[in-house]
Formats: sequence, structure tokens, C-alpha cells
Amino acid sequence: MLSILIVDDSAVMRRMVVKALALGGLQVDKVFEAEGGHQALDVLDAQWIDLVLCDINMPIMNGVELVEKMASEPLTAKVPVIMVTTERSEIRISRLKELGVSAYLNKPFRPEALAKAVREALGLEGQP
Amino acid sequence: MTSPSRELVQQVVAQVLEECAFLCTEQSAAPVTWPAQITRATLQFSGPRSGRIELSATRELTLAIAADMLGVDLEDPDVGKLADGALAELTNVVTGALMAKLFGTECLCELGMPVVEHGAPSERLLATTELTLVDMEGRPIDVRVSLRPPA
Amino acid sequence: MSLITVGMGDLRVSDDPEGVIVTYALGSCIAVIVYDPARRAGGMIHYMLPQSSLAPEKALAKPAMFADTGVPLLFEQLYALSCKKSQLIVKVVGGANIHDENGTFEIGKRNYVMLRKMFWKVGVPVAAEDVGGSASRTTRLNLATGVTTVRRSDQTVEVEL
Repeated sequence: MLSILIVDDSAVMRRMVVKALALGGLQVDKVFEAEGGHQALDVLDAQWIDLVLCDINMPIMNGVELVEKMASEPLTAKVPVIMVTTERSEIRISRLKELGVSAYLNKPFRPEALAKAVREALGLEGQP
Repeated sequence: MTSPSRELVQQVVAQVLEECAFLCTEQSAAPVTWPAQITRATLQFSGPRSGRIELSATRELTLAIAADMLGVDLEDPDVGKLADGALAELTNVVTGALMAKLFGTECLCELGMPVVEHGAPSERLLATTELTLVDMEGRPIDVRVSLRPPA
Repeated sequence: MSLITVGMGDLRVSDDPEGVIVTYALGSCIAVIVYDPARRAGGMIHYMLPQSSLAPEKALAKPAMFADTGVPLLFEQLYALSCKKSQLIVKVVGGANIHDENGTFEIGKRNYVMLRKMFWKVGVPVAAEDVGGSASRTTRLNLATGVTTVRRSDQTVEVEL
């Protein structure tokens, strides 16, 4: 059973990601949501999180800053992160890959592609 | 480039509307009569060039877009609450896609936060690419892209 | 082998272990192919238009002509054969952009977008698809194996989807 954290300042997009996870047949036990990196850190401090799905462009603390912070902390450095973002800059993508993000999906995303990326990040390929 | 071509803007916006909001559109053949109040989402961006993108639609269409993005019936109580957010997010996605087409992916572009307002339709500014798309039911969505002159 | 042909604006379901469901000449039309591997049953629809509101009387007589009336009917008939939603594998073929005089509101794309909207709303994932382009397609579903194949008019081989 999985605990997933969705980080996006758009409530609509957070709902779409939740729906895409369900459509992909993933057995998600708990879904946590955060409007930005600062809120995400609060959730990560308080909860066990198996995977983070994260936008880049958010106020106060953006997605890159969040991933940098997670990578610098022993407790969160190993939590897989998938970026779900409208940004396509190769400079950003390279930086995020250096920081260890598992996958980078552009919006608009296909729900099947999101579910597949989640399975791969968690090593669940071939499982229901 | 003073402003991107209408064809490019239409291509990008139409694709995002299809994939995000399941809306098929075409350019409006005739002038559109707008109601007194519309919903407008504006997003500022910077990169090799800076500028602004605006998406405007009627309240009716923003509600339909929200319902379709959320995958719920129009009558769902969340549709009204999240309609502005849906137009804002569409504008965000359109901007990201358009930046990649205009400037490529090798440069860094910064996108602002979308701002949503309700008000009267506004006059088009100079040096703006503007087009109006309509969906299968004839509901319009107005797109404006302005690029500031290079520094 | 028993060949079960799906015509335009039609749908078929079957659990015949020797059955092969086939539909031909998918231009702007779309075929939705559904298979339950546990039940070894499946079905196919060949619909022509996205919305029944375009012709409500026709939709009453021939619901499979439209995505919004035909696709739910396909699933209902599969459930009547004891197929389970969680086990269904769904594939999509067709939706080509066949040139029309005006070139506006391409039907193939509209058919496809309507289907994606419906599937998004009810939470049906698409396992594979071969859509768009300009070629006409033929598609088959082998009920014994669940294998779906597609042959495009611009290719000589039939490939597995």
C-alpha cells in the first residue's frame, strides 16, 4: 500500500493526478497534497511518503528547490520524485536528473504514462 | 519576431485544449459576440523574450472545461469552485508548450503565476497575436500572446 | 475459426473460444476493442460520430453509431457476459483524418477526443492505440488469445497492437 504526496499549486492539477493514479490501477493507500515546496516539506516531516509527484512552477518554494532540499536530507534523499510540469527546459531537466528525480513528465500528460512512470519509480512493473 | 504567428499559437492552444480539457476547436470564422462578463487568465513569462499570455472564455465554457478536466458532471459542486483554477492551469500548460515552440528547450524560461480576473472583454493591445477559437458548440475562447521588444 | 464481423455503426461481443472479431475500413471511425483475459471474452465497436445529440433519433435506432451511446453499451454487454471491469484490456484503433472539403472539425480527431474524455471520466485506461494519420485500418481481436492486430492501408503487414 502506497503513500503518495502530490505537490502542485493548482488544485485542479492535483485532482487530475489523483484521478490518473486511480485510472492506472495503482493501489494507493494515502494521498497527501501540498500547494508548494514549503508545505511538502511539512508533510515529509510528518508522514511516511513512498513517492512525490511534483510541479516546478510554484510560489514560495518551487519544485527544483524542493528536490534540492529533499536531496540534502538523509530521511528524504531516497524518496523517489517524479516531476509533472509544463516546463521543458533542458537545463532544468538536467539539474533535476543530477538531483536524482526518477522521471520527468510534461503537462498535458497521459494518465497511462503517469501510472507507468509511477510503477517504474517504485519498481512495481508487472504488478497490479 | 514581434509576435508569434497565429498558426503556431492555434496549433499549440488547440493541442493543449484537446489533451487537457478534451475540447476540439477551430478558428472562429465570424466575429464573436462576447457577454458583458468573461473570465480571463493572464500569465507573464520571461526567457529569451518576455511577454504575456491571456486566455479568455465565458463562464459557461470555463465551467465545462473544469468539469472535463476533473472528469466529473457539470453539476458537481467542485466545478464552480475550481473553474477559475482550471482556466489558470490551462493557461499555465499553454504557456509552457508555447515557450518550447517559440524559444526551444535549450534556454531557461520563467513562468509567472497565472492570475484570473472576471470582467469585461478588453481591447487588444498592439504587437499582440490574437485569435479566437470556438469549440464544437460554438463557445469561444480568446487567446492573446504579447512579446515585449528585445532588450 | 469463426469470424464475427462488426460493421460501421455496430458492435459485437462474444465468448466463442474460436471467435475472431473483425472490423474493416476504419477511416475517421474508431474501433474500441475490449478483452477480458480471465473470462476469454471480448467485444468491439465501430463507431462513426462522437455525440448522439447530433442525431438523437438515429442514436435510438443505432446506438453503436455514436461514441457516447455505443461505447457504454459495449461495456454493458461485456458485463452481461460476466466480464469484470478491473480485468478488461482496452485498445483503440482508427480516428484517421480523412480529408474533407472544408477541412474543419476533423471527425477522426473529434471521435478520438470524445472517447478519451469518456474514458477519463469513468476511469478506463487505454492499454494501446493506433490512431490518427490518414490511412484506413482493419483490426481483429482473437478471442482465444486476446491478441489484437491492426493493418493499415498504407502498409502490407498486419501488426500486433
